[in-house]
Amino acid sequence: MNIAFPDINMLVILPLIVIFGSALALLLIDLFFIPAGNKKITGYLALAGLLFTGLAGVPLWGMEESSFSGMVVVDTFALTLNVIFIIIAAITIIISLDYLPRQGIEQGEFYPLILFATGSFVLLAQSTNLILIFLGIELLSITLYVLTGFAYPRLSSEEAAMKYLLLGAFAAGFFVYGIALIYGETMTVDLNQIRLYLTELESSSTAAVPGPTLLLIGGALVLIAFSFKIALVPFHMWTPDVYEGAPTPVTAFMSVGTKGAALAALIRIVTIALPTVQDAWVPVLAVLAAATMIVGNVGAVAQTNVKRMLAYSSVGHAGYIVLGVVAMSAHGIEAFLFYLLAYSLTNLGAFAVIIVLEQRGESAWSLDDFSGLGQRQPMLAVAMALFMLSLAGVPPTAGYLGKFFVFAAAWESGLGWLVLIGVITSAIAIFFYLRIIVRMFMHEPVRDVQPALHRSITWTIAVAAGAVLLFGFMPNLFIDLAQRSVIALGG
Amino acid sequence: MANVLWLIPLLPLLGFLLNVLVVWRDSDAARRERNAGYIACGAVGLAFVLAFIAFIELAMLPHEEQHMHVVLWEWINTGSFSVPIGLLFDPLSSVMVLLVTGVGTLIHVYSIGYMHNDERVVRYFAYLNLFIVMMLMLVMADNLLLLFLGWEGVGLCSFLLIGHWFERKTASDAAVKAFVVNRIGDAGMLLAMMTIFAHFGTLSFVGEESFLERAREIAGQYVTIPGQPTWILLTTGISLLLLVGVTGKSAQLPLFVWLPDAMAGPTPVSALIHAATMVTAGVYLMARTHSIFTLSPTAQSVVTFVGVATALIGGTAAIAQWDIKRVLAYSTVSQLGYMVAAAGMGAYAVAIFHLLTHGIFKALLFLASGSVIHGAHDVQDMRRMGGLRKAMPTTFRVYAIGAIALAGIFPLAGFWSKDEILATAWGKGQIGIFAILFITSMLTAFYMGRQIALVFFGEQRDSSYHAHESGPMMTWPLWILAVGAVIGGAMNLPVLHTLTHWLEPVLEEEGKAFDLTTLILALVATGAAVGSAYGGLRYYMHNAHRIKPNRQDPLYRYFGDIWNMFEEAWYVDQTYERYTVVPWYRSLAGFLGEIFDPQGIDGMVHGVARLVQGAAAGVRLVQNGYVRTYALVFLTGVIAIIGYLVIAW
Amino acid sequence: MVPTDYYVLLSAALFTIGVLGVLLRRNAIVLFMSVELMLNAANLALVAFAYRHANIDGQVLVFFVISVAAAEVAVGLALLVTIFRTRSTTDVDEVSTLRG
Repeated sequence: MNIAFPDINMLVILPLIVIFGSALALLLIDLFFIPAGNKKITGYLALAGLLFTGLAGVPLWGMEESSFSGMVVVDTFALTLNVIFIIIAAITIIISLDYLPRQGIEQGEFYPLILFATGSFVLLAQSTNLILIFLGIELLSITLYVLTGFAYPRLSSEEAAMKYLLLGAFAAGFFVYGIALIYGETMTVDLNQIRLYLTELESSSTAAVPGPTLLLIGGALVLIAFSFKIALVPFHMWTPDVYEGAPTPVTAFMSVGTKGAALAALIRIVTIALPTVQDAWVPVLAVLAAATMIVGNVGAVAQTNVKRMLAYSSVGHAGYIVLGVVAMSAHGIEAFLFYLLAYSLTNLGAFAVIIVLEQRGESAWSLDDFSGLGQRQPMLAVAMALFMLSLAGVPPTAGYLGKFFVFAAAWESGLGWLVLIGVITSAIAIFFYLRIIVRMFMHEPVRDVQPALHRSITWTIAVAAGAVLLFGFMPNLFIDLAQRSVIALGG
Repeated sequence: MANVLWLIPLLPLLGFLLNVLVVWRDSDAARRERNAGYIACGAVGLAFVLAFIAFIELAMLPHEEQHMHVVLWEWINTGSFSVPIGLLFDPLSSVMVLLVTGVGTLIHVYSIGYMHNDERVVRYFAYLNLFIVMMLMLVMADNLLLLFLGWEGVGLCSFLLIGHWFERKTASDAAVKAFVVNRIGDAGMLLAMMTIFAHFGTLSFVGEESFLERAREIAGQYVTIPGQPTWILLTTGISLLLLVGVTGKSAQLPLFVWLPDAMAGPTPVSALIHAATMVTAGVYLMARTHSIFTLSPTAQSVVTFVGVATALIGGTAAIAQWDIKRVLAYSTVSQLGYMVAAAGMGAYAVAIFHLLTHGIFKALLFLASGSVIHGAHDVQDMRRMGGLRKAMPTTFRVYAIGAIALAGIFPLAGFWSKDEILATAWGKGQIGIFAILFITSMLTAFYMGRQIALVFFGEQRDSSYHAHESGPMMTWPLWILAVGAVIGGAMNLPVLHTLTHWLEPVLEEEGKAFDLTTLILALVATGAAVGSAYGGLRYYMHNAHRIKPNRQDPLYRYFGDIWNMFEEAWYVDQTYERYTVVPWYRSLAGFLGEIFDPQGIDGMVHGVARLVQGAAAGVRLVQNGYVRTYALVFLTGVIAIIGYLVIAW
Repeated sequence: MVPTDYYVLLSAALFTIGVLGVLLRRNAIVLFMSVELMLNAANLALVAFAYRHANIDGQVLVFFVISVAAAEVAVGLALLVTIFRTRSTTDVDEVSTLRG
């Protein structure tokens, strides 16, 4: 009896093992050992789990290896993204610690669910196989459906979860069908082998052989499913409703984490499997990006609900961040990574401020809550102003450099029209970001809002604001890492 | 000194941080106010001293090596693209730095008196210091990206300071308007940077590899790389995009509309930001990147046209204003037009010369008008003033000096710089431009005469307040600026051309020879200025009895609707139909009004805003909350993409 | 022997029916069924292709899809129950307070 085991290097999936292991363990620990009403302990344990996940990345640093028959890969690109994802998850957990009991929705499962979702991010950043990517996307989606509906019996939360689930499943249908078509054409679900198939096809191409039509349509369907997750227009329709209805920390988590993870997987797909058919999908994605920038920023103008405004703004930012992918260049990927980091820090910070101001109940998030904040809580207002300026892309913030990098990358790749739309839409965007600043510094308080400032969230906001400024002045701290990630991608 | 150049912007930054982090928390209001003022003034004053030392050191260097450059750290480094945070102190930067810190210090000191008992005074001084930091960044940046950082930073500070008295609704509206209008200009800047980066691979100003040098080389070679736009197209494109940025920040046509409204801010802010420093950033930018502009005759003529048109519109608008500060605001618009026109004609050194003298005497005028407003208990309508000469002798004297300087009367500062611009236009044989600029200079003299007559002569028309002179904290800076306004012209006397020579390493310009034509021009210009100023003064002194609050200007009888057009800065209301003027005059006014009037431009801004809001309503309409609709939109996207792929492939 | 193309065409037809179901129906449970139809159409295509290529990958994916779909429906039904408790309806159009 001689069974040939494929060569398996467990080290490659070490971060995955740690994070899913701690998520599973935490689920049980929470169930049996953590008393109700004291679920913060679960949150702290989850933070420890994230810390271990981060530590698990350390021995892998600099490694370039793929294992499990080429299904999983570990490289600097994945590890860099892991760091960003862990930061996102950690901030989410910290800003939830006080939010959940205040809203009366404290359940221990919240934290393991965040870990599961983060695990799926990591999985997406590491996989090079369509089956694994499908699993990652679905794991991500299902945990987020639950997290979105976490504030039940609040109707808006339930409704948001319902819409997200129905449309998410709808998109998943297109995703699987897309994979089926790609598989039908190429006989494989492995990204590298798809590329091999395409290059062979290209070299043997004669007039008699038809082009890879099935693959293109399948690829388009996969692209559409990703566009849904990233919230690109016209697949973004769920975003404003879901972001508004979901508990605020979950909104913050989704708005940055999901985008990052889905884009990471998309980058793997397009750079590994589809570079030879660039001419087909780059224009599609470029048009989607343009539409997204326009609809997201224009839609935000009419909003008076700050949370919904940020939801539309996050649609707009999806458009900017996709520019980095559309550019299909080393600079583009670098720009994507930097933008993701800048946007994550900024947006999480902004949502943290909203959480601080959020009163119990559904009436919150009005612009009025921000009126006169500059007088009552000057530091909080300054931090929020900084986040708004960073979102609007005003120097010297990280958000500005992020925009500059993606625009520069797109411009280099000859996408001038896209940059023009980007510049114009960011000029429009100043309207609604500035509105909050004006409210905070140039209005008298309208209603009495008692900010729920606990030490952990105060520090989170301070650190996020500091980081937004720091990366605005010293982006090189991160760019080196981004460059090495690009080399790892073979870009 | 080169090694500690960074101290110059660092000091005001420290002042800002101290005020924000320490003084803010002080519970004793009086002590808080005093400390905030002293810290802010000390920081800027020290920065000025340092800048002066650096200036002396720079002057000691041999002429060809006159430049100090220090790189603090690599800001961005992505291998192929590197941008340092580097400070440059060359002749051009040095004069700007001296202006910013020098005038800045005086305005800070003045503010201590002016903002006395203001409840948000700490915030005020903090923002003022931050503004100085950003402005120094702008003028000392060694690359376009860092300059843009300062550019946006000053815009932000301007926004915050205009809105300082946000209880007044006009203030917060004006602040938002200024910021939003400037964003349009910034979009142009951003695109200009992208283009420069894409074609030259660098944004640096310094050294052989800078895009300024590279542009010159490309132009020198006269070759066109296939597939690349020709260099003339390239430089024209870059120049025009930069010009869009300039029209925003330097309040040029068609984006000047924010500046008059910005007067809702405290008067020292108007003096510092909206007269002396920030609004001149556009002129500085053009001087800094002049080697790009020079390569494109098309762009040059567009720049000249914009400048001349702005000068005329600003000048005509200024003669019809009642608000003491709005007169000065439109005057600033007009004078900025002068500078831009000079830059457009290739006379960058002259533009900078006018920038410097204007910075001094316009700051003086604004501060003096602040003193008037302060003494007249926040009255700004000149119809309610009159006869303030007696109550405010000092203010009157310095105001008169400022007015004479602005009017361009020999031998004060404005005479020399304005005359150089006129001489340039004449020397280039551009008679049309010369004529408009000449008319504008007469208008300038006229409205200053009018203003002096309305404010200081005659009897006080509104006795509901008791005017008083301002304290020494405010008058001392006025006197120092007045001295500057008198002798400022000595910077660049016709034969010596000290400033032109000083700027030569950067601007590569030589002073014009002094000939008989120049002399005649100067004599004619002065004569015309004296005449107009005297005319304005006499006319309004004579007609003082006709000026009542909420009444029309006496000149209105003769000009009718044209006066309205002036008052609204060339806006012609529908009501002008009622007045009888020569018919073609009316239609011309109507036509120009259609094109230039700020209501129209405001209307454009509003139109865009309405368009955006309409589109936003559309987005909201589709977002109707039904899953079915969402799925349908989704499916539409799917069909469109698949359809495209099937058809295109 | 039925050619595999027929299976693919059948799967496309089933997929379209599923999509139309999502677009046209309002009952959440029917919507779930329509989505299931879409997923199973994809499964059919996968199996057909796997059979044609004599390759196992497609069939592996089918198993994953089935289990994922089951998980999704589990969450979905749980949500439906909570919504039914608060709103006494399974009509998705009536749960549309978030809009604009």
